[in-house]
Amino acid sequence: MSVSSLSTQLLSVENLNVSFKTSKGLVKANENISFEIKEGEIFGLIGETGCGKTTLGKALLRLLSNNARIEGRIVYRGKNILSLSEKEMRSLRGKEIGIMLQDPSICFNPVLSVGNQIAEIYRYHEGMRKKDAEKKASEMLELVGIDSSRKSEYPHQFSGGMLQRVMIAVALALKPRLLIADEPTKGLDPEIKLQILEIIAKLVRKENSSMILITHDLDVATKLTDRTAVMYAGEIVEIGKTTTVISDPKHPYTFALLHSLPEKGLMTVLGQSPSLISPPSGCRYHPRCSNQLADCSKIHPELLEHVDDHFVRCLFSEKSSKNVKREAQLIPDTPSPGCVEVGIWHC
Amino acid sequence: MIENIKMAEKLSMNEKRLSLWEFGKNRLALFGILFIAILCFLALFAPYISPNDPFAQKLDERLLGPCHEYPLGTDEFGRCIFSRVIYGTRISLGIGILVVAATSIAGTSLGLLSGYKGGLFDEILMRGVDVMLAFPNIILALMIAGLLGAGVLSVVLSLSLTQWPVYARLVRGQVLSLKKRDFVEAARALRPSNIYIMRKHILPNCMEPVIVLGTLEIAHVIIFASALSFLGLGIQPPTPEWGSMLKSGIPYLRTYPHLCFIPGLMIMLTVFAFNFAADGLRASLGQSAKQEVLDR
Amino acid sequence: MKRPISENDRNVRRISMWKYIAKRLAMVLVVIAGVTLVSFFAMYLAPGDPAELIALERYGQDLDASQIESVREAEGLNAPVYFQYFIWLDHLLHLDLGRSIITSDDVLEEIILKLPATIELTVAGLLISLLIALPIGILSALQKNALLDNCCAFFSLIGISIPNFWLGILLIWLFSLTLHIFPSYGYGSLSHLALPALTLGISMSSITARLTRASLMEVMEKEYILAARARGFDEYTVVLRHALKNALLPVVTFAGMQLGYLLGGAVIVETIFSWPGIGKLLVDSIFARDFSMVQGCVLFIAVLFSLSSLAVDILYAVLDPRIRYDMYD
Repeated sequence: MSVSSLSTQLLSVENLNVSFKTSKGLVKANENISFEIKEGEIFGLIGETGCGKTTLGKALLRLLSNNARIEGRIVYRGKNILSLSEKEMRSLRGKEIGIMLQDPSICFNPVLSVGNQIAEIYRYHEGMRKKDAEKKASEMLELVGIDSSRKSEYPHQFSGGMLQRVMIAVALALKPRLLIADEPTKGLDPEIKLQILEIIAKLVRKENSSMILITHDLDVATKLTDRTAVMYAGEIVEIGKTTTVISDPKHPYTFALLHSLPEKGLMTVLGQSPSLISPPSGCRYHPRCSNQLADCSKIHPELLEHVDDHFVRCLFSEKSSKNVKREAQLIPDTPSPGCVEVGIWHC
Repeated sequence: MIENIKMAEKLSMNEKRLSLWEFGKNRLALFGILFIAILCFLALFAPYISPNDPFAQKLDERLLGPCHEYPLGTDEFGRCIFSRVIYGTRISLGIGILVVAATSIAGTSLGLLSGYKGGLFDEILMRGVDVMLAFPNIILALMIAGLLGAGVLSVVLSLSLTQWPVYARLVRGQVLSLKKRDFVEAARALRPSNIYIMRKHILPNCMEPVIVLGTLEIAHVIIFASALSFLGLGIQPPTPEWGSMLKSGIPYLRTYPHLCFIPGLMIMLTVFAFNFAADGLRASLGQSAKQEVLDR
Repeated sequence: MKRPISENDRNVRRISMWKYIAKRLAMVLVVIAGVTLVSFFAMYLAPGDPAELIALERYGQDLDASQIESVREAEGLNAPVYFQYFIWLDHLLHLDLGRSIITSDDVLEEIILKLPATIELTVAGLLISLLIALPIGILSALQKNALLDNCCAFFSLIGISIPNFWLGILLIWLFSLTLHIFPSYGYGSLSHLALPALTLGISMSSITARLTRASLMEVMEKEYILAARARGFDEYTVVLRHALKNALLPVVTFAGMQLGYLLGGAVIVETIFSWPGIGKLLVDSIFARDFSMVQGCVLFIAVLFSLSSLAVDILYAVLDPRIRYDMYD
């Protein structure tokens, strides 16, 4: 899955598998996730609630709970994050890779003022004195469009949109090279949504940082991202340049998502999200797919490059597509289910 | 399906710890219930079980250690400690159950009325509860018991007067949150009799926490009653009550500590048992850990 | 929970803090008024004629009617009950709690005399209980080792079940009679304070420990703790700076409720150890049937409890910025 190396590669996720061991079974939240992000690139991760995109975001910073098992490789600037010690991870978090978690209303310590929570980042990571840190915190607040006189107010005194801005300030305080934004516009009014997106885009582009924008809102993804991946039931089902994916969606799920937008017809995607403990056999989307083929319930499709830099995981799409390129080898010893039968693909 | 991942994360950290704790607690709860059953048995069949008459004084056999005739030895008047402890079960359990029965019924009814009716009645009752709770438990009970004189009646009365407010508060809170729920509205539309609604719909939903509280309260009352007797204001000797037995044993603490140890141990084990039983009840009714502590 | 932002927000907060205190104070005053009612009318619980009872104390067993009548006159017991209440209330507001039936000492003076001893005991008890409970609660909540956590929980369960009077006796037997380290009664030195304070402290610590543990465990699950870790803070900072501040809030409120337990426990502990405080005064007065002293003590303790609960409520409001806006119970 290598792309042109005109700009340097910042993050490379290779065959990432994240599962949770629970009393009800093994929840496979992420399966075989692979993608790359270059410097300065804004990468979109789209999917419905519960498809595993938030888990993926957290996994990149190893912020998952104790019963999570992560396998695979996450290579950031040449180092495999999964092999780092906890101490090394701490110097990565916040400084190199920042994350905006979902729902700002629960992401702040309720008994500390907002300015304090930004300032402590500077005091901790850069050893600044209290006064200097406070000054920087005020600057950050102004940068995201909040009057710095509000720095001594508490999180509960802010509206949703305002608090989201504070989240941005916190995440970008140390100017990380990579920002992971998990649903930054969820639950916001359309005008506020735009404002937030503008702020994020402005600040990220200014520093030439990269960003992973996790969202279920296609609209948001369209506006901001350079490349997009569509996730379903823990897997990436389509990935490519945003313009291409939007204009020519090759996976039935992507197609359905696009057509659920008001402008495109507001068609609903039928059916329910699948269980991650026992997902449907073969293609995970097949029970809800209107393009279902006979093999779809038996064979689990691979992520294949159909057109230049546009990968799809779908049998129907393969059949109807004219040029199907071979999948590039990543980790040769990862067996793909069902590939023996079909024969063409590597095993 | 978001439940899958979110649930997975929640179950994480404490799953191992919780399951061990749950298992331990369930075991303890069983022990608690078993012990309570034994106590009830002792109380009911005291005359048949105890080897000696708890009141019989044998001054030439004072202060004996455990022996064949007296399994736990004798006290300063030559009375069999084991028998006294068994008879003491009657008193402690009796008072505990009596007081809790009375206070829970009274407190629950008042809380129910207060929460449901609201308005002035509610305000006045709640102020009353606040006032009663403004006195530290023992102080009020001491005062009342002191004024009425020692004896079973004053113990029961003073404890009842101090303990009913907890139920009223608890039930009122439950009622208030239940009142807002839809099924109450629906019931009201179907059959507007208030009493019926209170009885059929609201009350059953309040019962769970009340039952847990009641179990805890039995433990409270038992300690309370023995404390009063210990101070000399409750049950008086020669009636065998664990608290007053403790008090009588103090002068002999250096030389014959078992006079104090044994009754105190009984109180502790009994309270233990009720606490564990209450925890078990709570676990099977699904309350949170913090609530569990605050209820005490 | 989204409030509209206005430039006046800071002013609103300052005013509402005072408003909060004022509202709480008003409630406390109402409660105290109720307390006086209860204290006064409780006297009528005593069976028999109050005048006769007082006369019995003063003059002994052989009474004649004239003595009883003179008492009735002197104590104003002729007037209708509610009138007596208001007279009594009037005395109260002038800080006159009457005189001891037995010794004729001024009740309030006696109480104030004994107050320092009780405060010494309760403060020491509270400190000891926190010193034991907080570390146990915190370590137990953070323990990766489930076994240690369960052990702590088990021991704190034992602690709750031990009657404090038995604990006192056990401590006396151990430290005083057997090891001869501390004296078993008396007043004056730290050594005398040791056992009483330990008794009070240990019996209170178990509940605090359990609450701290439960509260901290709940807080550690919150998203903002994860967010703090996401900012690269080490676990030490996360727990101390973020988790504890939130986890200890319920413990502070609980401390308010604990004050009642402390005062009640002090009564028992003072009696066991002959500690010359208000608790012992109360118990002694009850046995001496010194009704005005009993009434005075009970009233004093209840008012003290109410005011200190108020103080704790205010402290909680200072610590938790969220509830200053929550004006309604």
